[in-house]
Amino acid sequence: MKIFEKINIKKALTHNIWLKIASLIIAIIIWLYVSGEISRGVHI
Amino acid sequence: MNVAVGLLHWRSIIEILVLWAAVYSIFLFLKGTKAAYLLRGTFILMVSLMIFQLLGFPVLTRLLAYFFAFFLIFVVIIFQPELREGLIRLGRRHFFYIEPKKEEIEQALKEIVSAAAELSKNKIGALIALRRQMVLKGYIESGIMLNADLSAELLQNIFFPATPLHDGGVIIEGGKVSAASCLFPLSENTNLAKNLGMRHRAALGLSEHSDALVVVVSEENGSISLAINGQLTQELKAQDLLTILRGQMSKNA
Repeated sequence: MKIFEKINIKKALTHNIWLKIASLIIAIIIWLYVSGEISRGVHI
Repeated sequence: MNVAVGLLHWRSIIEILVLWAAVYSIFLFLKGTKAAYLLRGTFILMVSLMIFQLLGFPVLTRLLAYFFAFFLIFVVIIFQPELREGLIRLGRRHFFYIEPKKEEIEQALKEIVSAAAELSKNKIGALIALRRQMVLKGYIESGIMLNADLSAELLQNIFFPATPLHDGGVIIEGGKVSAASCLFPLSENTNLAKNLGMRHRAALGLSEHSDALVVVVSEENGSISLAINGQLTQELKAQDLLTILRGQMSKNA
C-alpha cells in the first residue's frame, strides 16, 4: 500500500484551506435552505 | 429546530459532504479564470433570492427566480468553452495530493534552471512545462513521448535549432522528461504585450489551463520568463528562477 504512505492527509486538508472553508460554508447554507424548503413542503 | 436536528443525521452529513465536494470543485474550476466574476454575480443573486424568500417578499422572489433561470441559461451559452474545459480539468485533478520525492524535485529544478541559463546564454528558444498536481496527459499525447531521465544536456539538445523535437514544449513530470514537441494552448489574454511571441503565449496558455509551471526562454533576446496561473514573470535570472520554482513546488507540496 505504497500509495497510502505517499498521501499526506495534513497537506491535503490544508491545501487551499480558505477555498475549502468557503465551499463548506456555502454547502451548509445550500443544504439548510433546501432542507428548510422541503420541510415546509415547498416544491423547488 | 427540525432542520438543526436533521443536520446531525448521518444522511444529512453525507449530503453536505457531497455538496461540499461539488462546490469546492466548482471553485477550483473557476479559480483564476474570468468566470470567477460570474460566480460572484451568481452568489449575490442566490443570496438575494434567499433573503427575499426568508423575509417574505413574494413578488421580488418570483421576479428574481425567473431572472435567475434565464441567467443560468445565458451562463451556459456564453461560457460554454470554459465549462467544457472546466469539466475536463475536474476529471484530471487529484482530490488528494500525492507528495513527490523532494530530492527528485530539487534535482529536476536544478537541471531545468541550468538548461534555461545555458539556452538563454546562446539565445535558443525553449518552452518547458513542469507538472504539479494536474495531469497533463492530453498535452503529452500531442507531442513525442520520451519518458527519459531529466538532465540539462538533454533539454539543451531537444531545443537545439533544426533538430526534430525543438518545436513545441517539453513536459517534465518528477525527474522525467515525459514528452517533447508538445502543443500547448495559446493564451487569449488581450492585455499581453505585443512583443511577446507564440512561445510566451503558449506558456501563458498552459499556465491558464493547468497548474503547471512553465519556463520560457526567448530566442530573440535570451530572456528567461516563468508563467504561473496565467501570470508571466519576465527577465528572470537563473538564481531567481530557481528560488521561485522551489517556492512554488514547496507550496504545492
